[in-house]
Amino acid sequence: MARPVRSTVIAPVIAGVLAVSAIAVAGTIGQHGSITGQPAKRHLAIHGHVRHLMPGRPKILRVHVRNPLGASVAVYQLRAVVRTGRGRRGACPAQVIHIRTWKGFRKVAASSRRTFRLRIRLRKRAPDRCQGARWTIHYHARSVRL
Amino acid sequence: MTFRKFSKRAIITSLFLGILLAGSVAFAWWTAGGSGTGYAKAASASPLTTVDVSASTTADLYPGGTGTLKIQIHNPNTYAVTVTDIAATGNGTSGNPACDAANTVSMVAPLTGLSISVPAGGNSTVQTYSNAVGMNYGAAADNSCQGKTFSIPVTLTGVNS
Repeated sequence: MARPVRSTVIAPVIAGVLAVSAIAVAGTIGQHGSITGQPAKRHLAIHGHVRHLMPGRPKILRVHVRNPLGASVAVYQLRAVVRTGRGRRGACPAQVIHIRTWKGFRKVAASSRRTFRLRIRLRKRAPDRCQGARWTIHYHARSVRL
Repeated sequence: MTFRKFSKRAIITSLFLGILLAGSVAFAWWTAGGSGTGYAKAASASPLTTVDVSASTTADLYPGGTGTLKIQIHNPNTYAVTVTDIAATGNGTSGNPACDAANTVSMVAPLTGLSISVPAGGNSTVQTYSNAVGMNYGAAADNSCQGKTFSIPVTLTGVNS
């Protein structure tokens, strides 16, 4: 005869499953319960660019964060990842660009937009082939709903 | 049918773990990430130029001898530049065809290892290099070069500073 599983193992599992289910149901109602039937957007939209970077001279990169959600959020981290650039003289490594990650706590109201200022710098000893080069930047934001 | 009775310890542990799990899931649910793209573009450097300093030259050049090179550099860029090399790209011209045909004026050797600071959008100080320019003997003696000032085309090499 198999030994019965101890209640100390079963009970937490049941409680956990119940909790997850309850929250998932609540979340589903909150996210997809719109009258129009359109799926609710769940991500912030981010864009921003800067031009005329000079070697060794920092500039401010204005990054616009749009909140399409139905609730306010507080952004607490905004990170930028640079991809290899390309110009008339060929490829230019991403390492010559440095963008400082923004950290703080800034509210972005529902269906509104806010601008974040990131410090960007082209390395002083960037190769000549980087003149006029263009790099793609990928932004990643972390936020919490208020 | 008999039901197994949960112990007190099991109930407390269950509640604690349940709340912990629910809290974790709730936090995960209520966070909102975001992503997007943009671009950064570097400026292109504008070429350095020279400033006319012919008025400050000294008349020390003669056929078979060497003379002083004077140069002042203009930087049109929005960042400072340090010029490290000056090299001639041709012979000097005086504006007098007879003189230019009779005698050749050129730099003795490229100037390297320099450190001339040129501020952003400004001019360097007037640089003076003794014995940097030479005048060779022409095929025939020609006095038309006397008192003339020669312009020598140069290339400038520098780095941003």
